[in-house]
Amino acid sequence: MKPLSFQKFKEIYKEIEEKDKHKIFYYSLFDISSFIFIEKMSRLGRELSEIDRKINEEIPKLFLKRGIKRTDKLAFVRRNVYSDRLCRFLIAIELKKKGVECSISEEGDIEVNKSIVEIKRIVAGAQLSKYVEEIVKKYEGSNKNLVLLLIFPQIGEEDVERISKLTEIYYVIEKFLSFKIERVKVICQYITREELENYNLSNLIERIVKVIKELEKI
Amino acid sequence: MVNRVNANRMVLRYLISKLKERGTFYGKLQVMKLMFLIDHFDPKKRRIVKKSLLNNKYYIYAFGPFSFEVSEEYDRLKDGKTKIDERLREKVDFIIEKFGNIDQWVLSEKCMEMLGITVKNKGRFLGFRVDEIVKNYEAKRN
Repeated sequence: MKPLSFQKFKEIYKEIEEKDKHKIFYYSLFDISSFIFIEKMSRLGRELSEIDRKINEEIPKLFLKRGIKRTDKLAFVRRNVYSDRLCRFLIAIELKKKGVECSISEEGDIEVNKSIVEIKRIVAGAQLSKYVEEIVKKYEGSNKNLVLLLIFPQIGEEDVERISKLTEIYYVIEKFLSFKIERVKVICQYITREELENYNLSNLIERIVKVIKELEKI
Repeated sequence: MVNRVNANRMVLRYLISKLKERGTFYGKLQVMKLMFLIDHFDPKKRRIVKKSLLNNKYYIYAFGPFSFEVSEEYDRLKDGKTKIDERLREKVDFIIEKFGNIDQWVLSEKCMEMLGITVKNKGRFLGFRVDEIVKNYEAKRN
């Protein structure tokens, strides 16, 4: 089973009910390889294992035909969810729905005119310094506008308002990157498991649109 | 005949004990990358090859090659005998000697570089399996 193409995703997405879109987006925020930094038997480790179990149960149901083999379901999740393919595609298609002309480049980036939307899904702090280092390497000297999304999915019964406020600490990255990259904006977004106002895909899309408009004006 | 689960367990125990002996054990990310090299690095050709020695499959994710088989075995690992087949020991010792002192983040980058993956083109390869990437790479070389 090959990784999903954007074209194929668009066809399937048309058939998906509105109520399931947030669920797909939430599950698309988990990269199992980053669980490597978390002790499997810790409380957080157990919660992530439970999320992973649900991803493997729910996502194939929404995207694949009935009766498909278990190994293919597993492969679908491994190729499209744990990689950020599904997350990227969802954001791109929702941007298009808002009238933003965007495309997925050969390198897998979301491109809008002179701007690039870079997605980083965060479950552990250890990831962040590596991500920042990579972003500098990738965009230093680039003439593109960079919109960096730092997306934090809710895990367990976290206090939504409190954690959302704490994620704002990461705006410090924008300041740091601005010394290296000419035009950069960071969006920190906390996403809850259940769809809640301010913590959902629609809210994130509105914020991206606003930031792109600001950057494109400069 | 040693099956994959037993071979993984045997190699992991040996690898971790050796790294600890040398004082260069940094954690699961490092072990994952060293296992990838044990599986796919050919010391004679000095490059990554398609065939996996222990038959593990690696996917490309944000922090480089990742095998579910290795990850599960690592999490199940308990202290035990570190005896290893002679054939495997030689390869594991070579990998430890060559890559065992490298910081885990640098090692991740190095593994990606060996696969021809850079920070600029990484997005294109996310979710692909290593054997698919090496296959295409080898086809281009020939």
